[in-house]
Amino acid sequence: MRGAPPELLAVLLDSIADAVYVVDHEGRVEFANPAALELLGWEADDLLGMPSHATIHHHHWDGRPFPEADCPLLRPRTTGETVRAEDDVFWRRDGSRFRVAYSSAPLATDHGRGAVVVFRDVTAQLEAEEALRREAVAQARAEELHASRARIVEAADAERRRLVRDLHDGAQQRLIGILLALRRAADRAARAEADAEAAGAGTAGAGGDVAELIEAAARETQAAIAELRDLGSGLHPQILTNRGVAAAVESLTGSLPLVVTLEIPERRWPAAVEAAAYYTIAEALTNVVKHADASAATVRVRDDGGELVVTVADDGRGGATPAPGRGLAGLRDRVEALGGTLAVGAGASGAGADAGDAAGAGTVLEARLPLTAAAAQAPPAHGDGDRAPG
Amino acid sequence: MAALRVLVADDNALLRQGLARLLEDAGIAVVAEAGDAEELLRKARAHRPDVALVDVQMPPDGTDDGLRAAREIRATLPATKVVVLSQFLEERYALDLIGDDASGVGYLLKDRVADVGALVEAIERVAAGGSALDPEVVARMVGRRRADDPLADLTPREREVLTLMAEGKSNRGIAALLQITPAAVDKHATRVFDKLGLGDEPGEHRRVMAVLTRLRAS
Repeated sequence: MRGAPPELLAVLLDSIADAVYVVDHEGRVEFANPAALELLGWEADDLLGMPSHATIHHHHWDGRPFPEADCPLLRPRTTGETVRAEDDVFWRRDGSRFRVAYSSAPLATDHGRGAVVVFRDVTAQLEAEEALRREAVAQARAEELHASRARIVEAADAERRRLVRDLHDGAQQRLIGILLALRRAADRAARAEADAEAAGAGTAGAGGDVAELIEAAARETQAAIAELRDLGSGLHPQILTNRGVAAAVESLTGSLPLVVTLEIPERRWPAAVEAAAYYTIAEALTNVVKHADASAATVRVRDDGGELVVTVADDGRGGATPAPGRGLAGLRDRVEALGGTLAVGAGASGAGADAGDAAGAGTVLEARLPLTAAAAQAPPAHGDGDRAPG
Repeated sequence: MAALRVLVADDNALLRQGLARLLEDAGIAVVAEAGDAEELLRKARAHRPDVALVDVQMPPDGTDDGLRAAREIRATLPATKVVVLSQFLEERYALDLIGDDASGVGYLLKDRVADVGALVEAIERVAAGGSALDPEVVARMVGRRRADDPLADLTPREREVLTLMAEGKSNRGIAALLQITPAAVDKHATRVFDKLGLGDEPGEHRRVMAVLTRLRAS
């Protein structure tokens, strides 16, 4: 600088975009270029000679007073060091404030060591950065939430599969074992009875009672087996794991008191998607049977590459959307955990109902289940040892 | 008549042994037992039993290994007939097992062991080249609501006859169960076939196949 002609310096300071001011050894503003005056909202005549700290740097951003003794901007005067700050605050003449990044370097003036301060208004830049950061944090939280919902649903599914398997290998097998034992006991009783009769002993009737008791026990056992079978298939049908959505829904609809038309491709999808599709259909059909006063329903599953679209339409009363009970809420959780959507609305002409008749238009439930995301994020489909055949 | 030779496959040893004893008490020779699908296939090839009695869900995979092994036996060992015992009331499994040939095959719920007479009768029927479909599975198929239900025109008696035919029962068996004459069963059967638009099929397993196909298609 020392070698530069003073005129060049003046032109330079006038024209550069950076704001520059100079303080003297007492910290009074000795010079300010047009960019600095513009940012600070002062006229040169009014600003020059003012104590810089008390004029533009008197408070922190949050309103706490900023003692001059602590001011890093003025420190170069006394220590000779150069000070930089990335995020400080300057106050305008009208009392408004803005965020600044600056450097302050020592400068020899006529009366002693002062400082030259170069600064920029970084309000917009910092706010943008902060917004980005907030967004990233929010996004990370949303992703974490999404992932944990998916984990919860997946864990619940795995638990259901485990339960069904334990039922099958445990209680159900044992009951069949009991049935076998009862059968053999009945045979023994019958044989003993026959032997007794052949021997002419007059105790006929006692053996008959035993046979009847055993028969009753066998009937109860069989009823328990049937109940456990229904329970297991309601929890998580084994056929869904082994054969997929089409077979499982076919099985589900076999005993429903209405005509159900199925349009479901014989294909396999990720286990979480199959479970969501299956439970959506099961819950929707349960609602139809309970509330819709319908005689027919149509279940469609369409794989459009990106997502699995599941619709269940009925020809019932419609209008009155089924009360979003716990079942539907649970379903929404399950579907949204996969990043999908669930919508319930009035049917147009679903399930073959005549269009135009609002009362007979029925209800349509539609779930959209993303395939790519689910496939990418789905944990090993059957971590509990279940396996779906290719 | 020489005793039927049967192989029993179930991963639950107690159950397998219980079933074997039950069958032996009923005069059936249990020639081998198997605890998983691989052992089942190996012993079926070695012993060539008349009938393999197979649990659907077995190791190694614990899914439907037994069912798949049963299909392989049907495909590769024509002399060995197959009865699958299942805890699952699933039309799909039964139809998968039967494929396009209902001869020498059975699908029964496991709790049928409670009625050993009916179980043995089903095993004998399958051994003789017939079929045995669980009454509950058939009831599910017959009971399914259909648009333009072809079964709607059947009288209750014809419906009963249809159900028993689908289970694989012979005319003589149906006659005994319904306490009518075989000739009467014949007449009902003919009318059922007319109403369902099926040609009369010779042989009981062909008849089962025709009925299943019709129930499936509608």
